[in-house]
Amino acid sequence: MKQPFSRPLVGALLAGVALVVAAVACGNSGFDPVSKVDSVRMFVVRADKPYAKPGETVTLEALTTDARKDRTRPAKLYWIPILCLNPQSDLYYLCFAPPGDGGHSAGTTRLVPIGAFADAGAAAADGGGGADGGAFAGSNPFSSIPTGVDLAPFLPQGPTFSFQMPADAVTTREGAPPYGLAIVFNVLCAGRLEFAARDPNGGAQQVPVLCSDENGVKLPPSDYVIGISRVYAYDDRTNTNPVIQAMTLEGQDVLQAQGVTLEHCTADREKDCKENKLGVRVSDSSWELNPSDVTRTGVPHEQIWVDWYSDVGTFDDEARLLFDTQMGRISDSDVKYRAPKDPSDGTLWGVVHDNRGGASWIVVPLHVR
Amino acid sequence: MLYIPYSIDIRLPPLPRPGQPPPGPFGSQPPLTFSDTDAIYRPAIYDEVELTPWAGTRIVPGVRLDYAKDTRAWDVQPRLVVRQDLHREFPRTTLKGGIGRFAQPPQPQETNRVFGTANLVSNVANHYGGGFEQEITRQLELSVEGFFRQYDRRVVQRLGNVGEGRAFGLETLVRYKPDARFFGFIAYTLSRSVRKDGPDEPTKLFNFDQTHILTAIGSYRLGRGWEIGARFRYVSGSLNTPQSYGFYDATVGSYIALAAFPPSSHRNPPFHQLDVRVDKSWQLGAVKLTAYLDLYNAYNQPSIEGVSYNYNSTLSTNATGIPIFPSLGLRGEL
Repeated sequence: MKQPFSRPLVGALLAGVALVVAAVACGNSGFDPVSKVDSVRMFVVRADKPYAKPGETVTLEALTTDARKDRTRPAKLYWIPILCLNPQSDLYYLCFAPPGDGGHSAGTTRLVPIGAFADAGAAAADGGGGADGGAFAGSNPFSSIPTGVDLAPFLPQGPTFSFQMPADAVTTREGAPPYGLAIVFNVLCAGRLEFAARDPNGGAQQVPVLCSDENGVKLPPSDYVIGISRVYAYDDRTNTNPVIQAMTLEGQDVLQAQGVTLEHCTADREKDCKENKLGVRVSDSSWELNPSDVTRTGVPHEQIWVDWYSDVGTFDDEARLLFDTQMGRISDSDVKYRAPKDPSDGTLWGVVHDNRGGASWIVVPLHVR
Repeated sequence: MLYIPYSIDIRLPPLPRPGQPPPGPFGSQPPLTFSDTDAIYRPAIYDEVELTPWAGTRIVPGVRLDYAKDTRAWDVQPRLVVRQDLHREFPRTTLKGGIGRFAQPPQPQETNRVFGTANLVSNVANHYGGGFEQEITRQLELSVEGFFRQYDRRVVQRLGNVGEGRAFGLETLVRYKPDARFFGFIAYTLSRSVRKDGPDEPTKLFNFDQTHILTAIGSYRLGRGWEIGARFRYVSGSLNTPQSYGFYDATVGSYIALAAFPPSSHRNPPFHQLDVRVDKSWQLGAVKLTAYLDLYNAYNQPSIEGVSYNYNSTLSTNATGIPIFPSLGLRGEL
């Protein structure tokens, strides 16, 4: 017997389902990748000795850029000249937390003033005094520096910063060989820099500095970066930075002065644009043994990878593995790059990391005709 | 009896404490290493006795003993359930109550000598509950039960058995017993669950705290082999910790989000969803054939199950659950 309500019911249900599924299938476009550079950016800070011995002088060098369209206020790189040594559990945010903050982990962090700050601290200790009763009165120099003061005149500026690894930096660790950790903060700021007031109820992870405009209004994230750099101290281990021999385009070395020249994309859709294979050639000697990673099968090597950035065009990947810990050099490590639709000039950045804090970079101009 | 032999080689950064802000990228902390060959060994025994000393009364005392090799300790967990009919004939009225102690040994990573804490003992929870059941009609029955759970000796990663907490609330159930055409129930729970990670730490909402949980289910036989059913659910949104632009780990090359404080301070919008099912059955000799259309999330509610951020936490979007999902099927029974 025919069911009087079956056909309309099933038909309506199926039609409704089909419509809604079709609507749902149209997803959103997603976020811009980290490789797209259109703001103030800090790519990497490289230590000349990623593993320093106690007492050695370490020089940090930062790779930065300012890709904002409006650069009325230029971006400057400031270094906080206070070494944060061996924070509890290696947690960077306990460097500027006052004792007792950060839950159960205060008490082991040492703050070591560097350069002019060290001199000011010594003067305060001798009774010289200063704002708030001495530059480093109390156990945390960060908390004694007044807020609202333009820090630019007091802070080292520029792409490099040097410090001496304290002689007693190396400490014993449970589950790991003895090592020391020195953390240095820097700020790339296109405005005025000052220390920020700490919220006593704000938890341990608070941003210690404020980058603001001339009226004291906090600038957007596109205008500043607060960087954290780590340098490890070992008595008996060393690490050297990877050595980049060249950037390559379709397997051929690129002359760094001339850069990369490509044709602009003429396709309607970005995915139909020509894929250009970019790579970096890194020396075999960069692939060092990693004694921290001893396993039952032996001592593996470092892992080495490259991060790609550009202010024009797009990459299909943000990073590519160059050396595996076991297999060594990866044969197909090039990244695919698509030029933009309009002719323009830009920059390609390739930043090579190893997994022990080592880094190197190569920067070449990009010409899209 | 639980016996799991294992051999493990592990290299990981130190495990974070609950609520700890992100320590940075995975590679930013030297890994801790641990190698071992052993076995997880947890025998248990459980017994209970059902006593009916007089008409309308049921008393069920029980006890469970658990042993955990990693803590080298026995957990004794006595329990008692009591039911008493106040009126045995229709409309039946029954009082019910229970009390019990429940123990959960620490997780292997919590007792591990490298990643965990020494001298841990089991987490314990004391459960208390009491309520009644009442028949309203021959088909309709109401059940109401209040509960209180007290958590002690909660293991807090890298700190020890210092945590505590409590959960309390009310569970209600209205049930329509199956008749020739209809079956269904409505269940609603109102609850609150809080935790403390130490005596001096603030009390905070449990990460999985859900204030309201409502479930309604019904199934109706239309006749001529047709049957239609539906399920509606409404649950308070889950808790999350908002992120914002923070720091940049310049050694590894990765942004570190700023986690809002206190953790789990934001609640997502509530989850609600309707699922519908239509069945049509045919009896073909000895074979019963049933075709069905199952419509999951019938009104395509984009329930928010999480938040995803861009690389530097300046932009975010909600991660939603499964959209409307139809499923057609055919089932044969002999």
